[in-house]
Amino acid sequence: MTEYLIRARAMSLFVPTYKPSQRDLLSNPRRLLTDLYLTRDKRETITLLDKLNFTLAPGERLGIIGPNGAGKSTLLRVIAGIYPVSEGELSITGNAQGLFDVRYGMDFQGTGLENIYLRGLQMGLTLKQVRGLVPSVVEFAELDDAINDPIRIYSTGMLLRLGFAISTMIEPDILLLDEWIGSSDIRFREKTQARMNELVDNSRGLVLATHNGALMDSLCSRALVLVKGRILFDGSVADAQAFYHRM
Amino acid sequence: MIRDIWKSIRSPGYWAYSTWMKFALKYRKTTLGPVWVLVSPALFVFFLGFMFARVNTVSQDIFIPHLAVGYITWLVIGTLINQGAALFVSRRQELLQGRVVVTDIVFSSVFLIFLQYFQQSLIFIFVLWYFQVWSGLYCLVSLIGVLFLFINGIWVTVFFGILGARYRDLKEMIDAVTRLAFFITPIIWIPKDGQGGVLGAFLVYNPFYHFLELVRAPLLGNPIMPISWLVVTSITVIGLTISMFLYNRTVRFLPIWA
Repeated sequence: MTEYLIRARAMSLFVPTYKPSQRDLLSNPRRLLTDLYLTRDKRETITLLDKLNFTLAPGERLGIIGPNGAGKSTLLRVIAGIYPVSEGELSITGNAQGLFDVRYGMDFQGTGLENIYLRGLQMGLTLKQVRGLVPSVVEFAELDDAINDPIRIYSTGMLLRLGFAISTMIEPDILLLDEWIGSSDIRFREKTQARMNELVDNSRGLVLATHNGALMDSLCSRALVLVKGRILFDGSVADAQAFYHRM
Repeated sequence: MIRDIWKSIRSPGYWAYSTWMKFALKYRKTTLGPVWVLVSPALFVFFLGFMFARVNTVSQDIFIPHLAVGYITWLVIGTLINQGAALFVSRRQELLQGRVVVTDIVFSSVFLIFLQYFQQSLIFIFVLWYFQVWSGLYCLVSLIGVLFLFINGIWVTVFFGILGARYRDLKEMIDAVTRLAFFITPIIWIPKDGQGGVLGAFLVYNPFYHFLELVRAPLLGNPIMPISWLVVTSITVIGLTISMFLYNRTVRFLPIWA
């Protein structure tokens, strides 16, 4: 039996959406009213992921290339267990967790410290674990005394630093990255880089969705080309990129 | 659902802390702080109390305690249902981050209402003290009523939360119905004996009335009708069962629906 971290077999995801029915307001002004009250928005099911087959072996680093709207982020969310698989199967060994939006989930009225607790608990740490991690987070984010100020008065850079420091508190088995997280602050950039590399090194597997070709070259050992929810190519990074550019 | 509830109970860290934070932070920039939670219901009880005691020709020392306990407990019922119906839509972000168990969100919603109730109960405690209403140890029975209220809060939040995420019309409908229910339920009026069967139907078939009675009657020293116990326990059991069924079947679709 081959060992795997992620295995998807004919995995699909359908999502219901509401589409407003055709509106042609200019042709007849009366429709402004009738459309508002009389037309029904249609509930339609769209296919976001279409019968995907792939595996991720331990130690493998999988890159996902594809145009906007191809389903890259959606795929990561499915792997993270947020969206349910509609058809087919997906099995995951270990804990797959994403770094999707580092600034998510903070309460802007709260202080930096309160937000460390909030996010830490949200990520499933115990109060004791968070308490233990606080000094290293504060130090990493270089916030010093500002940690007791409400984050509403933080600068963009401070927020990003705090969010990043919090989000990287835990190291998942399978790391899911929706674009690389970097910093525009030059001083902080190296530190983020180092921390990200550490996360990648410590994880047993990586799935990275990115538009950045060079990054994928340097990090990934394999790549998928995902277009309109379908996998068109699965192979080495160089081949996948060549394939993608030919399209 | 039982497994998720158990998980949430065993690690209350996130929902308890985030709720407490929400409660504390909401008023951080105000001078009075959470005392503001008291202001609106206190004004309501005070003015409406004196006015309606006249309109209804009931003496103030009967009507105002009745109104205070009834109204503040009603706020719990109304908020549970209304907040429940909009819950998952408003907390979509948390659902999309993963890791947060859905019952965590449910608990956090119910817990927030509990914190508010805990604080607002000061108002009726004050009113009861002022009007010298004291029913002895019997008043402790109302704690059982409060317990029932919040246990039901969990299934109500699950039930209306899931349906409200799937069918957005539900929230609008519930807004309308709960507002109506407020007037139909004896909160700003007192059911009197001998007014015929018409009014009786409004009480017997009104589940809110029975829930209210379990909390209110012991505090005011009135007896609780056996039918109230019967209705409340049956609703608790049936409600929990139905929501459990709904939860187990649909909870995984929530991130998509919300």
